[in-house]
Amino acid sequence: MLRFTVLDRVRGVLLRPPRTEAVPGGRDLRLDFFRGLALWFIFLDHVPSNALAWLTVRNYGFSDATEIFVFISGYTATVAYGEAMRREGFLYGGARILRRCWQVYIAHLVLFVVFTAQIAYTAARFKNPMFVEEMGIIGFINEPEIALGQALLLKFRPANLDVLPLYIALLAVFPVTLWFLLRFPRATLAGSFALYAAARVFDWNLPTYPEGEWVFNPLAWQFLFVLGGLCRRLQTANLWERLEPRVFVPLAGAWLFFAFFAVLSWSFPLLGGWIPLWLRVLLYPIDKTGLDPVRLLHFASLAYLTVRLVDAQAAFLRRSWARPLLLCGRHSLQIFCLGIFLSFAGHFILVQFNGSMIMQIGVSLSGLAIMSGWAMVMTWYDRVGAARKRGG
Amino acid sequence: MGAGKLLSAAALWLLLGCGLALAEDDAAPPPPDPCALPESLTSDDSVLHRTASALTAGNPLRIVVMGSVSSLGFGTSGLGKGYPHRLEDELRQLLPNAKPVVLILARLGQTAADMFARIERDVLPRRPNLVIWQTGTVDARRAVSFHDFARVVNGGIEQLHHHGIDVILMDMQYSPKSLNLGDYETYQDYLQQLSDRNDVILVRRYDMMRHWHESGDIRLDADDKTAQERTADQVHACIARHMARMIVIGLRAAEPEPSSAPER
Repeated sequence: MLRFTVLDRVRGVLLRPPRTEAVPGGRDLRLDFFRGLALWFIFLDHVPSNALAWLTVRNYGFSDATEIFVFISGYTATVAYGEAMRREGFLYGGARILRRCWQVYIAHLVLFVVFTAQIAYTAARFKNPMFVEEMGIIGFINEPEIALGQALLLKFRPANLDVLPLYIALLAVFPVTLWFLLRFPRATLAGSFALYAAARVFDWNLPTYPEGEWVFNPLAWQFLFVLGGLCRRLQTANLWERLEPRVFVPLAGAWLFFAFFAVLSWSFPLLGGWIPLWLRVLLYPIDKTGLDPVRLLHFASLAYLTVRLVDAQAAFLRRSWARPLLLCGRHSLQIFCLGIFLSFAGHFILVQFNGSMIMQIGVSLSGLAIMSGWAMVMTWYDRVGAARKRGG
Repeated sequence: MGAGKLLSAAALWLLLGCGLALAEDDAAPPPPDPCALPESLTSDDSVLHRTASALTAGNPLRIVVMGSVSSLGFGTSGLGKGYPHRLEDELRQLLPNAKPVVLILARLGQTAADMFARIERDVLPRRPNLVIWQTGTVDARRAVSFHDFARVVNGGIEQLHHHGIDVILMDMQYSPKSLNLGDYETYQDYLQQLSDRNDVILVRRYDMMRHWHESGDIRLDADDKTAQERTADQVHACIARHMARMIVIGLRAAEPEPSSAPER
């Protein structure tokens, strides 16, 4: 009887008839909330061997925080720069975007320096012949002039700094993308999809130094970014609503469940036997670089169910505990860079001093607290600045 | 109201379950085995059909180990302490009739692509019936594209299977001072998925070493040479022991059951 009530309620929420999602002028807080959540997940995922990383999306499905981050960034970039471009024209709007792109590029270089310093420090003190091969990562220090040059070109990227170059690349071409998106949204989406498909079929990607290719292929991942922008452009709270919930909610749910089961089978191999061999051959390996359709579908299912479950006016978004997430999501780029920096610092602490479970939890929580605190400081700063400007 | 009651009931069951699990731990005596690992890290339902049929035909167990420096036993206290040698010792005890022999074809700095190129040239002429493929470390270090990594590992497995040779994959080592800072995980994921796709056993060395380090059984952060060598010896010995067990289980599973049809 009790169980019936809860399930009923959930089902009612999932299958409710569409209602006009009026977000009059104000921000859709869900964007900030989930992007903030994505940033927290990215931080937790980047502290290696982190006990708390078990909380993040990547352990429950095929997609991870990167998808959430890229999609929402596409949406909010269209919000932020679409208006400017519409009002002030292509040149000014484009200039604003490129200015932002430059800022991200500089942030990336700073992080690169921090990363290099940390590696050099650890390598100098770590001498165990058992790990002599792993230490080869520091080989680039022997040719600093080449490594630095390649880093400036975004061709040399140590692990963990992979999302920023993607973002830089996406922003760099965004003036043109946005112009087309504003005028011919559906054609732009079609073109974006064509590029995504072509990049996957013909193996197009950008190179890295000394070998290999970008971990996040901008030619493929741009599709998710444009999709986010399109959702904004077509005011797609309503687009989600047009999909018949009785069909799509179970489909989305089924896919999420399957993904959860598959991921679980990676940690508990005996479960893997339940997935038939032909399905495993079809599914694996799941392409992270080229935004495997399986990942895209997983993210879409997640987003769909979230949008159905969480109303734009949902009460919890205004609670005080949601505030840190909202603020982190609002200043996403700075918090992202801060998060990467903190993950380096956190890893360093865990390695140098104490890597126990308690320390891992402590470092993770401190990092999240610092990120939230910093977001609050920036919000305060913006508010004071805006008040000053208004005051004259 | 109903939801609240349901949630409290669920919480109660959860607590009860946790309590039982903890109580169970207290009740059981601590295992004397320093290599102890949780079930999930050593279980793998892949079957060594090809090796089993080769053994049934009367051939001895010939294993070739393809890998990089860790397969050469770097860091251990001497020759013969690396996991391939220890594996041979373990298998001689567990399968004396199979007269197991382990050949090592490992080199410093080899990527999966390098090893794939050696299959035709070096591995097949030695006519093994089982290949242990240890890879991922150098690829992660050199940031080889995932696409290429997956392609050669998959291709290598298929080629070996085509020649009637079973494959066991092994991933990278865990080190607390992990200098790679991150993307081991993706290569690990790829190895896991490729092992699922081709239905081969994966020895999850990274997770195993991490378990030993974090549980305190084998600490990997020693600073002086003797302690480092000792832990390396322990790690290689434990890996070999678990690998031997997994091989034996994989072979046994290939034996046809009289009552049930073979799986797949």
